[in-house]
Amino acid sequence: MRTEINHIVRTPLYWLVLIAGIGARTVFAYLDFKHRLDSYWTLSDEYWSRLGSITVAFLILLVLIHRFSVDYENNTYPVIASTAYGRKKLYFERLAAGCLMAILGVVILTIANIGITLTIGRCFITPTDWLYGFASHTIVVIVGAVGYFLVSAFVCDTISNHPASMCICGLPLGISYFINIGIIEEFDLFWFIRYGFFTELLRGRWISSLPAFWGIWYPVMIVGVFILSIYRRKERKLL
Amino acid sequence: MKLVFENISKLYGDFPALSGINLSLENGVYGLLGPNGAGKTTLMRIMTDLLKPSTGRVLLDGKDIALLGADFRRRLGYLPQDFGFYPNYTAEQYLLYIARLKGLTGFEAKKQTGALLEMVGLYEKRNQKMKGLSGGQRQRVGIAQALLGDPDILVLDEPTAGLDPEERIRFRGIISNLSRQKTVLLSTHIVSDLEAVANEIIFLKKGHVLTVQKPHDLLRELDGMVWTVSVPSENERGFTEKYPCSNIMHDGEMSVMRILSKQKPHNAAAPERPNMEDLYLYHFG
Ligand SMILES: Nc1ncnc2c1ncn2[C@@H]1O[C@H](COP(=O)(O)OP(=O)(O)OP(=O)(O)O)[C@@H](O)[C@H]1O
Ligand SMILES: [Mg+2]
Repeated sequence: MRTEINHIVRTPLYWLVLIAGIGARTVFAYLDFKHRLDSYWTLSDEYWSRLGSITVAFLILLVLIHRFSVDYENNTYPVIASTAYGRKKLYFERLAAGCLMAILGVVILTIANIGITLTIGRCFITPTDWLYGFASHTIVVIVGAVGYFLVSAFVCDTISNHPASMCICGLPLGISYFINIGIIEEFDLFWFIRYGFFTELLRGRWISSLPAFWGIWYPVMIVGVFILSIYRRKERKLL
Repeated sequence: MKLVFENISKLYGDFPALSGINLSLENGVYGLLGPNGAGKTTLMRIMTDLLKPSTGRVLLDGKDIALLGADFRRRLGYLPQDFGFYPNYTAEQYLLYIARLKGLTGFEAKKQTGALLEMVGLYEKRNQKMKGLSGGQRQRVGIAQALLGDPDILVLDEPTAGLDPEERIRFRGIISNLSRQKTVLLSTHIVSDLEAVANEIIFLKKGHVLTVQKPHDLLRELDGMVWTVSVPSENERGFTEKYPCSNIMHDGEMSVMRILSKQKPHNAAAPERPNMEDLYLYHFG
């Protein structure tokens, strides 16, 4: 497990994505401060709604799920799978390490957003209401990030192809940003895409439309893709 | 320790890569010899539990290796034919990674990694990224990873491919220095390697085992069957069409040929001591 975490920590891309996200946030915070000072705190609270969630999604798709196809890309799986712990144990270690690093990413972005907001707002006394609101959104983001990571990782492990997994998992998420909540109706396709692929959670909001339905849908989806990956692994003798 | 292949066959679609293999391996070095496509790699992948056979099973001391799982793999070292590596890992990082997957403690992993890098002559290059190593150097990292954890079953698929003569000699030294308590199965096309290290040779042809014998017994079979003949170059065709020919050397107007024949092929033919190449030709030529 330590080895797997070490590996991600030593991946420059992980830090690059975070730095890019934080850099962009700094620019936006500065612009908000200059031009939209009256809604400065609200905009900062909505960090997860766009920039934050996009950064987390990139982190998961570009960096974290790559561990699940790397042995096929480099053709190292015969060696890995012939070691005592290279099958089941390694798989679960990679899943756990990915979850932890996804959470770490969210935590780093949270701290960065708080720091940037306070520094640029020149307010070193934190408005507690704001902080409380932002923290409660962050908890939802963590749940969403772990869920989204797990599903993407299972997909990447099943098809063993990183670019294809990025498309499969990134597309519904990307599209959902352009869907206007105001004009969708329950149970139509866009409603499903908008709520069914972690968008709301990654953006820091619990789902308001039919929460009970989604409360069943998400566990079923995660378990379903997990079973698929287990089935593929059995087929390839990787369990 | 005893490894038994029980009626192993493998179909790819409806192409039989292996059919009805029955073998029993005990301690010692086994050389697996056969032409391209004979099924050597397939047999080794089945033996390392990476590929499910279409029929049959492999037993280690009477237990199915697929059921033994990690308990079997703990005792296994495997070098695949097309050895893959992580381009951005150094040789040392790669070995440490594999060592941890083999269940070695951090201390043991460090110790063995250092010793093995020394053994394959890469200690100076240990901090170089693997994408910067030459093909033969990578292959040596592959040999080192197979030896990590001191496994008592070693499966090496063309370990000497890409090695220069000096490294091949070093490799033979490594194999012959292994404890006698190990089972080593290695495949190679460099038949002279086998003569030096193998206790037994398994001939595989089109998915069938032809024979399993000791090298010198096999060579003795060919006693009196290998000849050199020196003939004018224009007569060369007549001989190559009639006899298997393991070597032809052109010396001015003359062709010096090394041929296999039960009878003396020519009045001026001189008998020769058979070698492994003759043997290969005899079985597969
Ligand atoms: N994945 C596969 N799908 C279909 N056919 C395969 C597959 N792998 C191997 N084969 C076929 O099985 C036969 C045996 O292949 P194998 O790789 O075991 O040969 P080999 O003895 O290792 O040859 P080489 O000396 O070239 O390494 C070949 O004819 C090959 O075409
Ligand atoms: Mg082969």
